[in-house]
Amino acid sequence: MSIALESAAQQEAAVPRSRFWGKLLRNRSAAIGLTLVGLFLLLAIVGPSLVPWDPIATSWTTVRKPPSAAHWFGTDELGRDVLARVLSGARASLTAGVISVSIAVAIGGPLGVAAGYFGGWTDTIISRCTEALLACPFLILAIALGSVLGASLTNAMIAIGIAAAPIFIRLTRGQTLSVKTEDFVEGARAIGLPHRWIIARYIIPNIFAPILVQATLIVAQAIIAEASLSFLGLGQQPPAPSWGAMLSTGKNFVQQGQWWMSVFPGVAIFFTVLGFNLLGDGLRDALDPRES
Amino acid sequence: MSTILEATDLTKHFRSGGGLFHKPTIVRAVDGVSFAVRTGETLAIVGESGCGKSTVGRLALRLLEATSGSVKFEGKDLASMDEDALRGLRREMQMVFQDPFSSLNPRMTLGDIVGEPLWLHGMGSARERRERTRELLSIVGLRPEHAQRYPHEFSGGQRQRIGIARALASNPRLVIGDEPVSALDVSIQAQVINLLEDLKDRFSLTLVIIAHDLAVIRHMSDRVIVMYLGKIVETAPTAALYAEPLHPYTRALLAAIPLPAPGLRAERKLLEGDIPSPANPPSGCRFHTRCPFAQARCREEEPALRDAGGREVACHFYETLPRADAERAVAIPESAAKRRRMALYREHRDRQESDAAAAAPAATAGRALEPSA
Repeated sequence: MSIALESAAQQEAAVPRSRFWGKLLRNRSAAIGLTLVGLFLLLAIVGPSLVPWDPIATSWTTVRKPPSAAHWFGTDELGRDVLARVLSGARASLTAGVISVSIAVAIGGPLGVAAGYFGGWTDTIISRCTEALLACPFLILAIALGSVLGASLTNAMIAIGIAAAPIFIRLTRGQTLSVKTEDFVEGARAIGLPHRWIIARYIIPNIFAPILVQATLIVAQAIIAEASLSFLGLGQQPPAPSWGAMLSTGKNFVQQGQWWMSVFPGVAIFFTVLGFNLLGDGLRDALDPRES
Repeated sequence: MSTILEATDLTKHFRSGGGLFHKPTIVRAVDGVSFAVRTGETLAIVGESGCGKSTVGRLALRLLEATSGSVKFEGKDLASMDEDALRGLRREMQMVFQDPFSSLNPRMTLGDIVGEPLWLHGMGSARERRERTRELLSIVGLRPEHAQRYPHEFSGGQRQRIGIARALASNPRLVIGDEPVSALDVSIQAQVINLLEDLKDRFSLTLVIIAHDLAVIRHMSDRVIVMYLGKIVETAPTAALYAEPLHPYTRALLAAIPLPAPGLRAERKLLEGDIPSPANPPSGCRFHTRCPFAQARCREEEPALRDAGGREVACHFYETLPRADAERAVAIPESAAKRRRMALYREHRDRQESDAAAAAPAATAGRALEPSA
């Protein structure tokens, strides 16, 4: 959050920034989270070119083969290399997770702050709509929206983003309500700060941490939601891979002992989600000036 | 002396509860309060918790919208102003809050906290503002280097100094302190009070101090307004009020001050019962349920604020009440336990003195000058 007071910003810009990174990296779990997220991002970008296999080329000779020297993660029911598909699926899954959560925060954050800060009719209308949306289970809502918008990865991300927005509306509204009662908000009004400045400099910095942590948790849910939408044919369109789609197909073969088709994308989801969660916790601490 | 702030018939009702099938409760936090603040004076507003004194402070700055009544700052009506005009006026009137732990934004550095009013009102260049911020910090007794630190690194007293520096930044003429020291340790209270008094002289401020601690008020204020259940019961110059409180409620408040003298005890009648709910105030005089002198008329007729020779009081019978000396002390008989404690204390002190004399004979000359028991 940039501080509008040049007086302080000019002189001190260097200090808080290095302090922020220092704090983030000193925190061991945050460092691990950052590494995991960074690693998966890197794999999503350069990964597909590291393996000699085409992630969508089928082969009748290598159907459902267990991991071997040639195919480290085995092959799937159409004979495609699982490693190649996990690596190129990273792109779809990470994008789906991050973009849909960004959409959710972009919709939910401002609405929640407006509802909490201004109260009255604004709050009533926003809150009632939120409750109506929350009455539908997250996944059902995402599926319904996805089918209305049409089958594509982009539409799936939009659908997941909209479906997750009520969670952020509720959270930001609650946080805003509690910060609003602090004397410093009244003090800000007492010096004559306009509402937009009070929101930007007093409300948002003080509600940022829980929203950030919630966002990292929802990234995990969004990746899984994308998997479900893909499974229903509403997300990533076959034959292009995504972890979720691989997981849903692979799980049919687990009982026959062909575990590799679902375990590897599952492990990838697990570590990505873990990485985001650890990073979220670390960011929360690093952004709090009270934590040394 | 000119009037800087004038409140006329100020009323604030809060609605609470209420729904589709039942009426909301109306809490009459402030009910028809009128007062004037003279330029350069220190005016105190006192009363129990819930008497509406903090609400009056917020209404005076239009941090709350009044239900009815008006507030004029140097003749300009606050209620009729739009946001922009009000913002300009907010330079002139500032507030110091009670809780120093909640009144500073934990995410802003001291430099930003204190410098923000300067920035908002476009006072000076960035460089001048930085200079002024550092100057303000040193004026309130903090080090200018602290500008880069965050509020959590400071103690309650220091934080209150930061709050004062912020309030002073825009060069206000009126500062309202909402219990500015009641959240602080007693030892720190004195420092902050002295600071406020120094600043008042240095910047020719007008102060309105809202408090429940009468000792603090006596020390620093020129005039006192006593409030009870949303109404003013007495207004008087400080010295006159403490010498002879007229309203029975004021008497009770003064009688509750402990007397710092061993063996003496103030002759007092303490108030009984709790303050009634402002949602359902008593009929007639609001104080009659707790007043030791209440009569039939008090239950029926609400007393107006009457002139009482340079002061005002809202009581039907203040002229006929027995005279009250706030600090008439009576000696209480010395108990056996107290005699034993005093004997132990003297013995201990004598032993210390003889030890000191043995250790450093040269010092005894100095010691001898001290008054002995």
